[in-house]
Amino acid sequence: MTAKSLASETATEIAADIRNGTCSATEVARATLDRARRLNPAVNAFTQITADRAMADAAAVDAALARGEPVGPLAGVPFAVKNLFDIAGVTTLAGSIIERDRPPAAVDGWAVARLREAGGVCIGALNMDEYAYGFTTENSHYGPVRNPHDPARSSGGSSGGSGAAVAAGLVPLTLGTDTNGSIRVPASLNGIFGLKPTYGRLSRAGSIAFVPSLDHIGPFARSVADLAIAYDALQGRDPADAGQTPRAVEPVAELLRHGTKGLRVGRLTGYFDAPLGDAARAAVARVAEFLQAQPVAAPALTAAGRSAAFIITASEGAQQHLHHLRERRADLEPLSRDRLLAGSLVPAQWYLHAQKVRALWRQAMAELFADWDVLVAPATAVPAQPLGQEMLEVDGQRMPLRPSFGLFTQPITCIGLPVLAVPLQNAEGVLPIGVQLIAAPWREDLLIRAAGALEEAGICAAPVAPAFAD
Amino acid sequence: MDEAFDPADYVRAAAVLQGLNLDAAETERVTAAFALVMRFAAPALDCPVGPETDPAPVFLP
Repeated sequence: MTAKSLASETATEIAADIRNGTCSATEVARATLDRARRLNPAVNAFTQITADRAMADAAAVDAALARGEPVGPLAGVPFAVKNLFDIAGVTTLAGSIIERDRPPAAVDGWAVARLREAGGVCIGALNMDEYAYGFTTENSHYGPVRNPHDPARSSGGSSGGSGAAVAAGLVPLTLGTDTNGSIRVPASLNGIFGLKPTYGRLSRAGSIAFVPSLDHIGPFARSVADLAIAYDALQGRDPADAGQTPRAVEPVAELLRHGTKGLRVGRLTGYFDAPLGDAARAAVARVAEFLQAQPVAAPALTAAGRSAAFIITASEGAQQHLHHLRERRADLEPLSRDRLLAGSLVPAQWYLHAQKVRALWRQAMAELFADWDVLVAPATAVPAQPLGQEMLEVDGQRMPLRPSFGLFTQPITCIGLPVLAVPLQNAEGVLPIGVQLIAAPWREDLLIRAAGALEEAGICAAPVAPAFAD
Repeated sequence: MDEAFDPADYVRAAAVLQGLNLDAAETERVTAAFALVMRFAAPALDCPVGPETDPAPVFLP
């Protein structure tokens, strides 16, 4: 095993190599740590590398294999997590300096523990927008995450480190969270696959919440198979998450090559048609064409749904941090501090109104899913933009850049629908862009089938960014 | 929205209610941020809802 060959391997391939004895989990962990230490400065994806833990966990996988014991589908697969997930022995930062004063986590959060039980080897914690409030991971405390396709550009956010680490081939698998688009935006800008499951599907216990009624967790990967295996490993009932819906595990990995025959696929029009750059428009068209998607008018409530998500985020997000706003304001991220302060002043009547709009919007989309199985929509209006840029002009519309990245993702998270972001490479020069595949609640299986077909056809792929490739 | 509404006045009063003690520079920045909130909130607030719409506390997407 060499760091060079490791970079391009998927999680599935690494696990197979380890199981069949081509290499050991210890060799993979060592090579991964070497590569991460060497290349991370170029992207600033990691805030901490947990080398001792990684080597110990890898040795445990090797020992289990030597004893002939089952080792799980992610045997020896290196992974890393957004630094709002608890990692035993590591202080959970959530991108802040306020949390830096807290003691290290005593135990792994639910998702980290599940991946470890599946054989995964955690090698570190990943950079993010402070408290997950942002779409660009321009973190003033820990530095910006740089896009592996162009280091002058953002990797998206708030799970920017999770996106960049996978796109740069530092690890094949990461975890992120998505409240308004924080999995789908980095997936789009880094050109990788990202899955935001149905609200309530996966336990968020052992992670720092941003907007409890909108927060989701999910995986990033460079192949649909890896995404499916990780998602299956993450399923399971956890009473510690008050937001989790009791539901049986519904594995999807076996459905990867079931194809799209019989699926009714639509392409959302209207709200999702503009403002859209040429790259996004072409990407949506290509995916829609392959899936034989028919135009479907987005409900008239879509803009109101996005707006409701904005109000709910402002209000709940500020409530989460009201004590910080009162007592440690100077330590908060300058890029989000004023937004949090403004959110704390949102009238209760606006918040309650937004919750009613959310209910109406949810009903409108539920009616749409009576006729459609998968809906196609852009993930972002444009590919990655330069770090520090304040404004964005698309289709003749000029708007604040940072919130504009949620234009097409926010309406969907508002009502908890499952979404898989699929990547198209070289959409605008060297830059990739993503497309959302959206399904009815609990139908992640349909998304895996559609994404698997797109990947098999070569339309969607997530190779390591050229500058980081073997 | 009432045409007489002044976001700066509102921010000053509501911030005191929330115990935030904003200084003048902060008040100015937060007023700008609140104006942006108002802009983004408008499509939802313009959407009519009635007492019959039940935002159920149990989230079933």
